[in-house]
Amino acid sequence: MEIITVKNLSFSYNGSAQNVLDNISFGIEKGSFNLVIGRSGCGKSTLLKCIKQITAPHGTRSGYILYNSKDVTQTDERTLVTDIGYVSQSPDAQIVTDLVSSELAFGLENTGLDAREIRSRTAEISYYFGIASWYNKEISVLSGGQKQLLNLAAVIAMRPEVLVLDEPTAQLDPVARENFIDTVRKLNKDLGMTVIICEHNLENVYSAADRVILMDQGKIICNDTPQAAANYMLKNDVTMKASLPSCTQLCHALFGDREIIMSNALAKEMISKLRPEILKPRQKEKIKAQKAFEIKKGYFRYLRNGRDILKNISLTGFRGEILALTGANASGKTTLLSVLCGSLRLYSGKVSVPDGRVVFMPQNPAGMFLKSSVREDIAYTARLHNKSKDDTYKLLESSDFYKDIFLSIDKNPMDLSGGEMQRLAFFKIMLTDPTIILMDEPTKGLDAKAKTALADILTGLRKKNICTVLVTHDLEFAAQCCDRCAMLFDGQIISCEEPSRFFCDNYYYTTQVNKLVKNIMPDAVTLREVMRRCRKEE
Amino acid sequence: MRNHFSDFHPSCILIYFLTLITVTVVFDHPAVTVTGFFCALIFSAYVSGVKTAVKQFLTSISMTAIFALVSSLLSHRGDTPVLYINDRPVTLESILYGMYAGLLIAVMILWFGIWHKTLGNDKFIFLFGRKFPQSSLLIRMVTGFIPYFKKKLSEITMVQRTLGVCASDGTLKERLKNSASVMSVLVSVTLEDTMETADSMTARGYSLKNKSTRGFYTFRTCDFAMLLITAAFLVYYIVMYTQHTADFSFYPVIEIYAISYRQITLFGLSAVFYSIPIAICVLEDIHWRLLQSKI
Repeated sequence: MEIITVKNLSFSYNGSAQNVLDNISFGIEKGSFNLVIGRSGCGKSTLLKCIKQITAPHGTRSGYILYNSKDVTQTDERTLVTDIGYVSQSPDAQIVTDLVSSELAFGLENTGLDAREIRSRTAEISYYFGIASWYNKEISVLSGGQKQLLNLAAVIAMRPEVLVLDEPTAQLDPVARENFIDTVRKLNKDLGMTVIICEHNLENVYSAADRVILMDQGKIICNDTPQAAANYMLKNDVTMKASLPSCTQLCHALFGDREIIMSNALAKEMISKLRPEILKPRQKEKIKAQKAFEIKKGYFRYLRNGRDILKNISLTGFRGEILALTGANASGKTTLLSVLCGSLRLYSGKVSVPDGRVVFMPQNPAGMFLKSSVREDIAYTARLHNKSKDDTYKLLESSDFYKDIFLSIDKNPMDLSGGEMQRLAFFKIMLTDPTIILMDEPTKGLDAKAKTALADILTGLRKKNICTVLVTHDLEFAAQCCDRCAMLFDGQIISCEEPSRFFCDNYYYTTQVNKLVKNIMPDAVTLREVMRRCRKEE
Repeated sequence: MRNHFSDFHPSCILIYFLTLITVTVVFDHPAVTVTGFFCALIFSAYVSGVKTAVKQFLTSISMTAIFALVSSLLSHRGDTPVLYINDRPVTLESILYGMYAGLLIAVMILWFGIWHKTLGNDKFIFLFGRKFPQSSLLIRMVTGFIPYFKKKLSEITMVQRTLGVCASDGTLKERLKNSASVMSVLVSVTLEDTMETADSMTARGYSLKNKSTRGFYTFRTCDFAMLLITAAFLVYYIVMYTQHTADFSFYPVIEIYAISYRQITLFGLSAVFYSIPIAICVLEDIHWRLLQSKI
């Protein structure tokens, strides 16, 4: 039975002639797991918001969406609130109250359940989600992953029929992400809850789906089983193929079109039969560059009687290199960046930044803009750093990466999309002539194409003799573009080596590609490297 | 130590503190106030540590001193001059009255502080949430918002500083301008996030009618006992008040009407009433030690 039916749905935002959704029709089976994918700005989010209806954006729309064969615009609000649960990407912004317990009860209180029922439901849900141990805590002490799980739990407590998830894991680290996706899968399998999820990172979620809906420019270009959809993407060379799970991509690249591999176990077996010519890994020339910064035996804590956040840290960064800092949440990564920035001071040890023009780019670049239009904002930063108009213009034209900035030069920076914001932020950073760029999770919420663009830009920074430090959970990205990877654990640097060596020794904490090819080429960490070894250079 | 007094039903706690505050204000007798002062300090010391209590003690004493000074300079009532300033008498009575007023305010602050600690947001909302669902949600949202705001502020300050907009360097004019810029960024970033919060609230039915509140506190026998004790004290105080047992005046001379047994009982019982929270904490801790010894 179809629980949701979308028929000839078109939508355009107020004041824009372009249709964000263009004559879309599809059905969602009851109890199915549906994955909606597509590049940033293809209309996925708008579609999901329209399905929830209560949070539908303002604009012109035609066609209709049926929930249980009834038009959603005609369905009463109470049904829509309880039956269709909706979770969006930001863990923080969705939270309403200050305590875990009251957040769980928020929706239930709104629907007017009596106290006894609310108590038993919140208890049941905290048990099911494994959040009973932090039930009485304040939300501000939770990690991002816990907050997002709480958002999901608060929605599930209302016992919805359909769960609509709009990139729910975009701001989570890999471990938290896996945990979240597993919970959603469990809800689908255990309780037969219908799931509609849109995601950028498909690693763990793709094979779990019953249907994959591929969107492009407001249209559905493919709506099929994962296998068939992957086949379609690879055959037609859709840009989204770069987001497919590593095993599928790798097997396709190695063995061609024979079949679509979706399981890691199968992929591993096939790969183990390969006999790659043993090529030596490419020798990288030793970096003999100038030091960009140096930390010697650094100790840091926030409170006099607190615990050490950084313990005996020694780390040197060189100009012209990209350094990745990895490690679990709360291992001290962000604190280390703040120390490099000069915002926090070590209580023992030394930090030296010989030519100290350090710039920091946070996870969400929105805080970097000051003025109400892109033009003014750029002009202001240029003036602060004594850049003439011509210099600014030259810099703007120097890379394709910045080209899009021209298109939105009169917009308010806050209205830009995530990708556009990042471009602008980068441009502003370059205007300040930095020697060190610090970035906190630069790939969060980016699609595969935007990631490639970011990698290109970072590689470009190398030539400009800039030292880049990335704090990242995205091991694939780190493997692809970093010169060295460092791992922080419990406030200490456990290892710091170039990616192939760094991941080679790890069994679990390594890239997906490396896990697949571990037994034949333990030091190959990226798809490109594997292909080179197999002499199938792209 | 844990504040066991807060384990009582919120309504008991509320009624206890309302009675306590009313008694302290209405009786207006130095002996009652001083008793209240020391009981509040002991409770603070027991629950929040001696350090906090010492701090509170010093603040209260300095407050008393300031009030005494101000009162002695401004009011010249009273029959016992201590010294003359510009031919104006500084009287013993006005000094003492000032001290008393200062102490009374200090006691109020102490007890309101303890009240707030014992009857936190959660219990307060439990009591009034049904009557005022909107305002209790507001309390929740504000308390949840403060840590978020702090975090954002420190992040934006750091980012803008690296971009050359620094609120702590440069001339005063620059600093003011830069701080204003940082604040405006903070506001716009926050507003963006607030839109998503608003969406999340409507999505979870905030605009529906007939809301309810979750209750977490059941009324137990000990709550009932506590309520009875408070009620008994209240009745006793009312009787004592109507019979003018503890009248006291500073002007023109301090007059202590013949100290009667009644008065002594009143002060003694006040001490008992004020130390109910401490007694409960101590008893609970002893009880717990006993239970622990059986493990």
